[in-house]
Amino acid sequence: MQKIILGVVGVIVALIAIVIVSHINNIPTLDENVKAKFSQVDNQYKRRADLVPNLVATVKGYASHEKDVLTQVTEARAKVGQMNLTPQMLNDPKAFAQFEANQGALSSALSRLMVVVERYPELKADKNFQALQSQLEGTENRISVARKDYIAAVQKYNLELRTVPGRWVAAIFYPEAEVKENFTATPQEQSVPKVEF
Amino acid sequence: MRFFLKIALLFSLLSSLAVADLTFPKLTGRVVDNASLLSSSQEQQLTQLLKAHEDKTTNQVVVVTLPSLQGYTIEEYGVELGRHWRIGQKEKNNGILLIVAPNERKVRIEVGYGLEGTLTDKIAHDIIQEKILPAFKRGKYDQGIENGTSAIVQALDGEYQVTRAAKTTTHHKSGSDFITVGIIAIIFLSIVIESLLSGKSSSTRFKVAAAISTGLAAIAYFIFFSFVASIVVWIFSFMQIMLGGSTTGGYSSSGGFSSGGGSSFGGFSGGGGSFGGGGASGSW
Repeated sequence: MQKIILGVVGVIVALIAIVIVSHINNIPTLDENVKAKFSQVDNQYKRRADLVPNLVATVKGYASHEKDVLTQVTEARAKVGQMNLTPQMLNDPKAFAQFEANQGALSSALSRLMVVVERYPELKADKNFQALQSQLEGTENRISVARKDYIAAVQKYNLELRTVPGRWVAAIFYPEAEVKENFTATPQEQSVPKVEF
Repeated sequence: MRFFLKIALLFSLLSSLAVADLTFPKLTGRVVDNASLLSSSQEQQLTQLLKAHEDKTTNQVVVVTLPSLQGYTIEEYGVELGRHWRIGQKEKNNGILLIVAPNERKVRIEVGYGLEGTLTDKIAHDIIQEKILPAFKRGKYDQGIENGTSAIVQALDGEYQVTRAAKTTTHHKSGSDFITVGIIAIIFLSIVIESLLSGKSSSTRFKVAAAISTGLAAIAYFIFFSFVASIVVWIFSFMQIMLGGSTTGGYSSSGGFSSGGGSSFGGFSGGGGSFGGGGASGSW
């Protein structure tokens, strides 16, 4: 009887050990995944910022007196350029919120610019402008995809830290690991595609 | 001992089953014409063109027509479909999708990470505006698709550039490897413990030897059953695909006996590439 109990205890201990060991690698793996996905987001945002000078110059060629909106875009872009991304930001709610706010300001300024452009058919027909416009659209789409990937990565990481047994593993082996910041999903992003046929 | 083996069998079966969250149209070939816009000879011609291109450059180009976008924008749908089918080679991400949704009146060229430098957003935009939409506006979908496809192939011809790194490894894969190793460890340990404890006489060395050999036998049994289980799972996924609908990613490896990967029935399959939202869309 005692031998059976001992055997069962042994097996249970082995089981627990295996579960914990298989989770030890998760946290660093998911953490690196989050960082990689955030780099991608950062890349795409930078790509967008890089398009702005050309865009502003082209629009000025046709609509130079639209000073307000052009200044807004230029200033928003400058602000975005000032904030350099670091991995520490992922744990810092204020810094993260500031980053989001800056990018959001640039997004709004760009939308306003596009609305203004509608009033200038010659500008819209300009080949250079059209090239920039398609690049901008493509980049906005890439930003959207990169954000979605990041949101998914952070969810996985945060869940691992907050659910059992990940939280025990983290408490023992990764005491410095913290839940990471996530983007506030825009209405378009909130619909995660669940496509069914 | 039998009891543990049964549990191990169940465990390995469960870890091997694919988890399918979304369903997409089946990748039946390089031209998936679910909206019936092309004649079968047109489909064949396009398929040949795209196959020749892949043979020459390893780029994978797929034309897909859809009766519905299920309420999603063509940009959202395009990137998810490209990732699901894994069009393009794994290390190069050199895949392209030409997606036509005639009922929503949307068309998109979805460009994989690796081709964004060659088939830029601007080029994709131009192809759509100049080669595809004029025909679409006249209702000649087949012509638009043909023009667009040959324009895409021309733009790609001879070059590809890798601009972004391949996908990162997934959590699921390493998890199931661990489970396999873990199961083997459990079996081994429990057998060893049992044998050690169930002893009437004999020296310790003999007991340990007996225990270890029993443990090794158990592992051999386990590997055999795991192999059988993988075959059962493979047959199961095969049947599932044949009967319609498709699984995502197929089945995971269990001790290295089965191979993972997307649906590969019908000769053409995605090479493991991924997409990041590059390309251009148009509507009419």
